[in-house]
Amino acid sequence: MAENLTLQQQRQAIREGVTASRGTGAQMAQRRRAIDNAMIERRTGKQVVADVNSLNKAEPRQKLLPETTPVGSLPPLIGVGPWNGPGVASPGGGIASPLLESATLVDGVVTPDREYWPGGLLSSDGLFVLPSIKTLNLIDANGAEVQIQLAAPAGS
Amino acid sequence: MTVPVWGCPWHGRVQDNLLTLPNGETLPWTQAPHSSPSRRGDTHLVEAPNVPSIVRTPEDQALDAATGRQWKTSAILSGPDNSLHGTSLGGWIYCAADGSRWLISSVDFEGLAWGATWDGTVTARRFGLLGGAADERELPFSLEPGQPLIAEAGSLYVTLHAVSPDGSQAIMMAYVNEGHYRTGWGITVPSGLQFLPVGFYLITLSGGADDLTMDLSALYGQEQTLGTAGSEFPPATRDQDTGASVQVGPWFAYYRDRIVAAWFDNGVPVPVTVSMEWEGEINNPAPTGTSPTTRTSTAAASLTLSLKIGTAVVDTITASASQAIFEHKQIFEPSYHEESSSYTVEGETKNYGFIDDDYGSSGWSSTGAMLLNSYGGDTAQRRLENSGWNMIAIDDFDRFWQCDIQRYSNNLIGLRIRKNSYVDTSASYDYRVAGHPAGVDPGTLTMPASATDTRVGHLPYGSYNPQTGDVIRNETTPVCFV
Repeated sequence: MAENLTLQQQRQAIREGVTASRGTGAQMAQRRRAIDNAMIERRTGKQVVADVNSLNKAEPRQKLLPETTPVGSLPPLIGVGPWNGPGVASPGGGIASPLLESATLVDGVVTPDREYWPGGLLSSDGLFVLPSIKTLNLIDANGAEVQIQLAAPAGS
Repeated sequence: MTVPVWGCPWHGRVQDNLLTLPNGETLPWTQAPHSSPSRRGDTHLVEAPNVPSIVRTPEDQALDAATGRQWKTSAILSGPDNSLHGTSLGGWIYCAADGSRWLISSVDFEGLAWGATWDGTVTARRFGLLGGAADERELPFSLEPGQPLIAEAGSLYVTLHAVSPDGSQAIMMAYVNEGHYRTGWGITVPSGLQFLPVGFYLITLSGGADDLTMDLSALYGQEQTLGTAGSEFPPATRDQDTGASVQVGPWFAYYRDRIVAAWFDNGVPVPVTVSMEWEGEINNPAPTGTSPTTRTSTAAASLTLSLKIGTAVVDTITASASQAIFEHKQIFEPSYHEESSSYTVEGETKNYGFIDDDYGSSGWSSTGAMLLNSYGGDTAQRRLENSGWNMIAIDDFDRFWQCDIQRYSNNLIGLRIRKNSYVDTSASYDYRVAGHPAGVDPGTLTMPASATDTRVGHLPYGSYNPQTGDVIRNETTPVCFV
């Protein structure tokens, strides 16, 4: 059963209920600003662009090819790989990786300094020859010459 | 780990454009065409020196057997274009001692003529070095070939005939087409020999990449290739009293050592020859008596036709015949004629005879040389014709047998007989043994033929496998080995 209130008490209760539902004046101003910002974002599409961009992969950057030295008029040279100066000598005096094959310019063509076995690897009937390397001349990371000598294939 | 084996593992019999593998499967394989059946079966062994033996594990061998692969230390140049592993070479391979291989072009021998010096060059190309630089040499030759013109022989051709296993020697054959004569003679029996050789020439290659050289020389010139031929018959005179031909005495005719092919035996050239010995006696004496006048004439003949490789006899056909004629003539009376003949060819004897007591002829019958043969010998032209087609048994009663040389390929050759009977109009071809560089293939075949169509029963195709010794003969379609 409803409590018997005075008229003044009834008005006070009504005022407090309205305030509770509408908020204070500061709260109402804050809500209006939030609504304004949301409307601005929707109209300019800034958030949509950001969302779409987040789905896309990044485009690869265009790289420029490294410049190569013109060939054809140079005297014979050794090595076609990058030379970074003397490396750190390994404690055991071994071969330092990487090994690069030495080469010579022959008629403008870079030709590896290899030697082949005269016989090569014969086909079963002895009529065809696959050239077979006899000596492979390499330079290690320390600039030291390394030579690999391969055995003759059977029949050569 | 064993050295990896590589190359072409496909070997076997090729026929109807299919290679039959040892596992029974077939591979498509192109066979080059040629107008002469025997060129379709040509084979040349290629065996380079010092080729290492092939090592296969049991697992490898099982895989090879399952897939039909055969790894071989030699190869075969096959067919009219000398194809190697299915690729046409148009020449042969010279395996030099320094390990280099050279393709020697045989097509460079085209256009050589009768009665002229043979000048030209042969192209040699470095062969088989994968990735190697091109290396081509022109090898000059100049030769007096000893080929005086045989005017009626038609064009002269020169072709590759045999190659030694390492290719350092090759035999070129100069020949004319047998068909040129068959047409002129009206002979319709399909050609067996196909080529009538008039000379064989030896090419010798030496050196290697630094000093490759070639020499061309006459192996068997025209004079030797055509063999020798001759004959001697007793003189015939006419009996003055009766007008009868009188001829009594022995006779002989021959052609010997007619070279029909040549190949190598352990690096030595060996000729394949055909020889014919034909001899007998004729006895046609002068008639005796006076009304009646009588005469008994007799004749005997024997014939031997042989095919040899060097001195080894491959096959011999023998025949003999005899005849007797008795005639009795009396004035105002009909003549009496009694005749008997016997022909034995390859063991088959047929006897014929008849008596005619009303013989109309006023002249005297004579015996002659029996077993008519197409021999000739007084000119190069006739000696040339001594190869190939021969009649070995022809009589007036029933039998017409012809002997032919059956050339299956450059290295497979034999004799055959076409037997034709007038009486029952039957015909057959007897394909006899055939010789090849490793010996004699003993197989024989009698093929029913047609008395009117000589193409029926003609089985010209065959080939010899120089790697395995296998022989295939008397096929209806071209056959070869790779």
